[in-house]
Amino acid sequence: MKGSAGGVGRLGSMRWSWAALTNRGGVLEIWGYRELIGRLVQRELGSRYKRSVLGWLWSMLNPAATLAIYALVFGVLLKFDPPRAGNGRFDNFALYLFCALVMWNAFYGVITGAMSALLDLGSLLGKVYFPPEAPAVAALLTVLFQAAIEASILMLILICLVNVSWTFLLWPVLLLFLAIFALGIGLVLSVWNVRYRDVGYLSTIVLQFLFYVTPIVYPLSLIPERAMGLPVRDIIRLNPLSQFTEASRELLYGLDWPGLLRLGLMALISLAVGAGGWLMFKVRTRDIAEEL
Amino acid sequence: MGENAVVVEGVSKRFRVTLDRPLSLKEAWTGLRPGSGRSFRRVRSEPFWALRDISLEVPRGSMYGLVGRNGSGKSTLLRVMAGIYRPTEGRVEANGRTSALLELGAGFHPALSGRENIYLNASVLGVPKSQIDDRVEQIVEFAGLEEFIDSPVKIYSSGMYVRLGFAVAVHVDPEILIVDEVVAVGDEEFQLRCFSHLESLRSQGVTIVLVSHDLGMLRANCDQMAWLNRGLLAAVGDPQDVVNAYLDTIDTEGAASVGHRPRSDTEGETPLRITNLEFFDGAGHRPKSFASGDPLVVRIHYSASEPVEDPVFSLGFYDHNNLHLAGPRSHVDGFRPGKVDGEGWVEFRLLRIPFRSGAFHVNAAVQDSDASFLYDRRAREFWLQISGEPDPQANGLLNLEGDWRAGV
Repeated sequence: MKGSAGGVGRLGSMRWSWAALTNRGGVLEIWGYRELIGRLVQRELGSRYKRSVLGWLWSMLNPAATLAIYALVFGVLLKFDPPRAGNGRFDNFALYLFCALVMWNAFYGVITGAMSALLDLGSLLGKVYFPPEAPAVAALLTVLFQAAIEASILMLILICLVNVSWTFLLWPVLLLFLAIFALGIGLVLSVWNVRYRDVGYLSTIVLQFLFYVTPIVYPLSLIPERAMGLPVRDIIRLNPLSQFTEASRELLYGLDWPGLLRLGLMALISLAVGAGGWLMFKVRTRDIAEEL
Repeated sequence: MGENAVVVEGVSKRFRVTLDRPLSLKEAWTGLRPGSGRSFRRVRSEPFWALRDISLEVPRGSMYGLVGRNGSGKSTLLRVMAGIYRPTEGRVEANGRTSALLELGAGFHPALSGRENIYLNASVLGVPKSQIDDRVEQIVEFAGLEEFIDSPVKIYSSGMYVRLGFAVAVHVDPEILIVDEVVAVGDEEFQLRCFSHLESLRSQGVTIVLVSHDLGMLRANCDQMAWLNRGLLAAVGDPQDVVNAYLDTIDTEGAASVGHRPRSDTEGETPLRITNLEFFDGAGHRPKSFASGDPLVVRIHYSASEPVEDPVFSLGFYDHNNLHLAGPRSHVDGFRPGKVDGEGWVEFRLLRIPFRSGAFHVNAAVQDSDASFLYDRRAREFWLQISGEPDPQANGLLNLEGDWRAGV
């Protein structure tokens, strides 16, 4: 906390030392506001899990319903064929879907959470100083908590089906990469969301589109190599999000490991997007107290 | 760390008064606003300088006062000091944990309860939870909100907001406390409590930066003062000098500006306005300050846009703590001005000023003949300066001019 109350200098004139990074306006000043973030997370989780009779089961209702609907429509009615599970003993579309859906839910949650968090708490920024990214980081942690619950349920089911391997241990790392990737995008969108009123609508549409160009409700193998003269399958494969959902399926369902190259690539993409978004957010929010 | 708690160096602050900003991505990309049919790319913003080249130093452990008329940049300067606004030019250095109480309800989130907001505010200021756990009851008690602390703050009255805001701001162990004129909203008892709390914080070494219109209070308590005038630093230094310089311009500017822009409580149309208040001595002069015991004439200038029958004029005398000392009213004193129309004045004459030394503010109001409808009121705008060293032998605010006798 000591560092954060230091100079209110301009970002450009800062020297690159640990003190400068954690100072007010510094890229990592968020560290000094751990207490605030913890409080925000606690508030969000508290309102979600405490106030209703069913507790946290209630918060699982929405993801469970989504899963059930997609499993019914795509697995039962449209008869999409899941590959065989890693242990070679069964195949199950719902579980295959769930492995990718957990990733998508986290991605979607971080982006929409970051956007609404800044709008919700931003009005405080005109009255008291705190790093503007704090609400988004709190939203991220909340989403990670939810994702951890969903993943635990999924893993528990898979373990019961004796479909388990050391690849499970890699999954949290994958989730972390995804979270950083989503936070980078969410931060940029949250600034636009404050400035332009149609960003909320547009991002809903884009996210919906993104959901269907990512292999979540279908396996990538179902997509034809070429359609309308375009290499569709390669395009979908190049979507960074596809890498995460596919890798999640490989780790949990296929008990396969994606290889160092792909993991390294995902790490690189997520760190680049996360850091880029973070920096852009820092620059764009220097005068945010005047805009809100 | 140095001996200064806050250093402001050549700070300027420019706001973009955005006349026509794209409100959606669609507008930003096409450059068009539907309906207007024209591009707003060219006229985007008009810079407005709220502060220009302000430099000042607030010594550690001092109480620092800021004065200035409305719109002179005081609140902007406080926000820059608190780190909420980034200076366009120059530099601000705040050495220590800064707690700011700006406008109503400092940093409250309306949907959260008072208690949750206490925790939220404390965590914003970096106070660990364990420490705030111990303080919550103290804060609630100071604010007098025992019954409402678990209700969302959006249902609070403005007084409750301010009380809670103040209580939080002073109980989080700030090293620098920045207070806007918010405290004036609370009732008198609470104001006194706030002020004595500020005093005790200062004695513990907390640096306090204060904005107020209460010149008497500032002069009596501040170690240093600064006066902002239209974003420029007009005077800085000894409180007595700054207040005098400020009062001088209020006198001259006040007289000059009365004609075109009276500042009144009642906005909009009213048939009868108070245009000015003047203080005369017995010889018909207008001295800068009076002595206790002198004669005083308060002249209320009015302007009536239509004839008004027997309006009631009243005055209110207040000390620097906003304590209501006297409130003469024309109809109570048996005075009826008759029909008033156009410009004119009414006088209240006092043979001997009963107030001891200090700055007193005088409010004036005018009502209809049965004192049920308020035509106009001007408050906290006119200052009566009673000069002279405070007599250590005398107690209280007033000279009662009684005599003493003995008997058995």
